[in-house]
Amino acid sequence: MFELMIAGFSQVLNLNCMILIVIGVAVGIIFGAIPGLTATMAVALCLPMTFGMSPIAGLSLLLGLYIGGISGGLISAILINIPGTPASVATTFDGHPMAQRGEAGKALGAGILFSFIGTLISILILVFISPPVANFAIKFGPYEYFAVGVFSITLVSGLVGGSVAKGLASGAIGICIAMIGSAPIDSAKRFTFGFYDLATGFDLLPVLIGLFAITEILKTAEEGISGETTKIHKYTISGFGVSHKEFMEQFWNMLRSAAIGVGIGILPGIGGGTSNLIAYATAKNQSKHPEKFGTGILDGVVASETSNNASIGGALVPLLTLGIPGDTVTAMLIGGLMIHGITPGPLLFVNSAELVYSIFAALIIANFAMIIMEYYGLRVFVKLLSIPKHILLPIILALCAVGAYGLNNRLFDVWTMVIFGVIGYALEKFGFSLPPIILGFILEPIIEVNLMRGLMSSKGSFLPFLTRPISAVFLIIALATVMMAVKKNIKFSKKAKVQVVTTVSK
Amino acid sequence: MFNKYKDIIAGGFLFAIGIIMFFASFNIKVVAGMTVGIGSDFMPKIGAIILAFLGATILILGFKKIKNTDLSQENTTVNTNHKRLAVVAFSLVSIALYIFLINILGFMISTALYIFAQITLLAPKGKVNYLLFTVVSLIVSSSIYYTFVKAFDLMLPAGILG
Repeated sequence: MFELMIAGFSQVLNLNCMILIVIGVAVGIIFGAIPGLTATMAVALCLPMTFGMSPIAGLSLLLGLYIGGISGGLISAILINIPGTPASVATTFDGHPMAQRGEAGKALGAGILFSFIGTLISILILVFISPPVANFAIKFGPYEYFAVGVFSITLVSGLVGGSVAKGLASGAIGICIAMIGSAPIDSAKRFTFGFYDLATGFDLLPVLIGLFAITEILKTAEEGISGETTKIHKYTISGFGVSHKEFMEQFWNMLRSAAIGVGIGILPGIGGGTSNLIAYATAKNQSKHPEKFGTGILDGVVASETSNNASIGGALVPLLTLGIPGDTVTAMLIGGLMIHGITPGPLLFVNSAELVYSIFAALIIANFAMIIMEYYGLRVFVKLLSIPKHILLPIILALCAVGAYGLNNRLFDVWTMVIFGVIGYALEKFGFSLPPIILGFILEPIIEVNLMRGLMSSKGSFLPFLTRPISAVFLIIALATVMMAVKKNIKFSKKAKVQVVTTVSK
Repeated sequence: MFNKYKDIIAGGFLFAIGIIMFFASFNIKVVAGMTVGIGSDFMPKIGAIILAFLGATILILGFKKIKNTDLSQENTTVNTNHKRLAVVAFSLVSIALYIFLINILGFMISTALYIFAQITLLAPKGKVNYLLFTVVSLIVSSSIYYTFVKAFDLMLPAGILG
């Protein structure tokens, strides 16, 4: 492993990759910091730039964007009380009260430091955990892959929060959209309505860009942009604002939040956007002084920022070992890998071990780039917060169009992007969440192909799907997840009946 | 109003799509002998059934929610802002026009036109500055075009300028 790691670093430690990482991190922090722009969007917009690059150069840029994008959200969370990305919602809870008390510099410093530590811990876990996982997964046959696919989709649908029926429906919508085009084994045309362009189905990238970037633009158009200039808190930053004693006090909180971050990251489809809230709630429950949470204490910032960044390493585990994205950014990365003809999965560790370890190396370097740039470049990033959004969003849409067009040089993909933007906007209006759609879209072919292959080797019998131990375990967990989520939902709706007046009138 | 009926509308819609999809999947021409046990119409049927089932569930839960609300004091506030929805609609129209014009006018001109139109649509009152918007749209569209075409080897439609 040590030799492979050195080989990985030797692939990335060249001027080209280093510059791309630095650019990636900087652009990522900007996207993270500006509310409404996310790490997912940053990766989507920069993907077309990587088409012509070597795989590792392209990935260096994208991974830099990922790390910068998740971390950058803390800047606006602390200074203007608006989370820059969903991953730093919980950072506002204590980060902003700290800023109001005149401790903005301390909150920013701690946020940056613990983002760095969270990412580092998660990368280490990724490096040590993914080779054995891949080794295990390489024995998976069609039965196991089918079960893992079903398990992943039920898990995310049950975990997204809100109505379970809607979560599962989002997943089902994704599955149905993925079936449009040619069937995987016999290429039978499905739901193409005679359209030539539909014969190959929808490409992942325009669907993703549509659902996550265009939807966001339409939402902003609806909400309107306030004419007032954003009030940014003043700050002075010196060091990371955390004394040795404070650091030691936060040590367990940090480790726990990192563990939560990695764990949530590993679960398919959900990442930093969920882990920061769970880590914050856990830190509060476990604290000796839970009443101080929300008043501006360090513990809140540490929990949120450690966990959201720790989800990065976690989300890459299922991506690299099974080809299943751990969150929405890694779903984009699947697109980025496929363009270069690389299929993520356990075989990647056998066939392109060097690439896997260069990904690890790029992540470590990007993490160092993040802490240095976010700390020393803070002034610049804060300045960028005041770029008017009515100018920024149209430019982003034009860049989205370039990205979608560049994929196959056809306008069909640009139309696809817009249509999915409208679908995403409508679904969010009706209270559906979008990540399960993407997961359903990515997992449908995996589920279908492996179901068919499994039946071919079992001569048409469904029994092996239930009798093979690994496959059975995953299917049982899938069933249990749905049942538990439904139970929780029923309990919740009974409670909600009492408060129904307030919720409906909102 | 919208919040009250949104689950019924969404559930009903998904249920209908599921049913339509189920019957449409009988038209899939399965190639015989390529697969064992199930054909390429199997998953579409399963997907359609799941979608219809979940749609029906959302629909029923939506009706239950209304029933519960009616029993209690209802407080419906219409907070949909029609002006903002008009901005969304106009934005969509300009995006559609933009894509339609890319192949005719070329990427650079249509992008500049689109950016100008969209900035004007989104700009809050008191922040409208046509000169600035024109300059921004021209600079941005030409720099995107040249960056991607020259530096990243991407083919973008040149249109009437080509």
